[in-house]
Amino acid sequence: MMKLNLLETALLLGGIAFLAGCYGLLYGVGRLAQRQSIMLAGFACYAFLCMLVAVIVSTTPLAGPWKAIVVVFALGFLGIPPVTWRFLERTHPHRRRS
Amino acid sequence: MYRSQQLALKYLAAAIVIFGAMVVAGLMSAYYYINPDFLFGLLHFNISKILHIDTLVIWLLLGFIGAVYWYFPEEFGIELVGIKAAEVLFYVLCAAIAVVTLVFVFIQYGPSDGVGMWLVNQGRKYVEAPRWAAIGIVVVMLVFAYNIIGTAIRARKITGITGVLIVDLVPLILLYLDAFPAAKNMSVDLFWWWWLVHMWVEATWEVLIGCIMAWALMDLLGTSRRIVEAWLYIEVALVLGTGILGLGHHYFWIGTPQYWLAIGGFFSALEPLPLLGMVIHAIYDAGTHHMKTTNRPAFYWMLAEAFGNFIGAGVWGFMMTLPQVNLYSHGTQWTVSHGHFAFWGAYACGVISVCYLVLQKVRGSAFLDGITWRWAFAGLNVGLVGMVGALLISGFAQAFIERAQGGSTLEAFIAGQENFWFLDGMYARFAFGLVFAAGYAVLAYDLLTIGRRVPVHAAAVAE
Repeated sequence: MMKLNLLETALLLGGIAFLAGCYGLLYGVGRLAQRQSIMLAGFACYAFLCMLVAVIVSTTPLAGPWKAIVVVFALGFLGIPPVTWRFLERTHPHRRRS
Repeated sequence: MYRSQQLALKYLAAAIVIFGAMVVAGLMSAYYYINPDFLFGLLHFNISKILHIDTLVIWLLLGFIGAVYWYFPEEFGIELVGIKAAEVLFYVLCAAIAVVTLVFVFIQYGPSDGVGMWLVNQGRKYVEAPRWAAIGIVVVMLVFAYNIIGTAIRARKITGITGVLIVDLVPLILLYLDAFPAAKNMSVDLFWWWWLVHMWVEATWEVLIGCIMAWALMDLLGTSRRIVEAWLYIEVALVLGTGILGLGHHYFWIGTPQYWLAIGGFFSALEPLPLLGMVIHAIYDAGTHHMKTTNRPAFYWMLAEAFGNFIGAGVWGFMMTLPQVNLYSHGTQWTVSHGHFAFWGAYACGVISVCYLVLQKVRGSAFLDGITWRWAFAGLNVGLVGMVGALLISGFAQAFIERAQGGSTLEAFIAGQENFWFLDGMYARFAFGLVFAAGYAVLAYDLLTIGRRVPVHAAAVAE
């Protein structure tokens, strides 16, 4: 089973990390440009990431604990951009834009 | 300019020269895959691969040492302690690198005894340099540590960055001692050998480049020390937290206990989380500066570092690090793809960025820009991305056909090597390798001439 799903599982995992990067990039650019549409595009990437997580949980032969870890990491990816941004604004008060 | 900064220039110049040697050896290694008869009987694939990987380690190490020698005296406002020893050792190190290279190219093999180990090849992957040269590397690192710690003691001062650097020197040197044992048991040997390879690359080097980037950020963007040091502590905690036990993701097929696979998979899967934070920081810095800086090449190479690190180490790593995938992908061209991308993003881009920062000071350019560096940036990055894409496709074919379907038999190995996806990937890798080499040539030309060729635009600083 794992043999047949090897590439599919790997690509889904890579896709999750890649979409997390896209979400972070668009979130950051949206905050900088103060453009809601760019931030929405970022959240759309995150929504797509959640879909990939659902596919991993439902179709891949990863063991249960690893599926749980993927879900937890996906939640972590959601929090990192806003938390980092808030920290940056707090530590760079002279550069704050909004 | 301090004497240690003059020495830093020599180290950085040597790093860029050896970077070129790495590119040549890499091209040769890539060509062997599409023409296995290449230089048959003269120079075999294993030698070019040794040269490619060892020069990678050496050029980055020289780049790190050069960057530290450049920034360290500015940190304390005094000359480095023991600068004379450091100057002498630079020439000794360069001579040793040249001798070892000549031995690898012309002698190649030695007897399987002490003579071979001491004079030809130590026989351990990535640290193949004969034992006399390996001892030389330890001496250089000890003098480097003496320079750093001695200067901090003489200055009677310690900063957050230098504190982290000094603490990092201890495992940096101690772990290299792991290059020496010659355990008879292969599993025991590989178990400890990975401590050296993994802990250097995914722990001590990460901290070292973190310190260098902290100085570079203060230099390039005028970021306050308080901020970069706060980030450095966070980065060190996260990188070490995820990196050290990530060691287990190497422990496949070498006879280590099975629990290491889960530990390694879990902790290395955590690695994209701090890297995503670094991407956010890069966007914040770039945006609040409106992409404006007095040193464009350094700025863009620093951005490339943040994004390359995330994609190469984060995305590529996450794709293959869970044990169920790693079981099959381990040691295939898939791993090679990840290795190329991660080294490029995590280290190479940072060293190139520092080179431009240093050159701006040395050549007195108030504003550093031009067309040439953009061609180098494009050539190197397009070449690198093309190579890792091609290697990924070959690696997919190898992992699927040879490992997952074929069960790693000799027959499956041949089937994997002959598969058209694998072969096409190898051809594409070589083609993009040529693009990368062209990018390197332009980079070398630009580093030699930038600031001399481009007029100084003092007015542009106000931009």
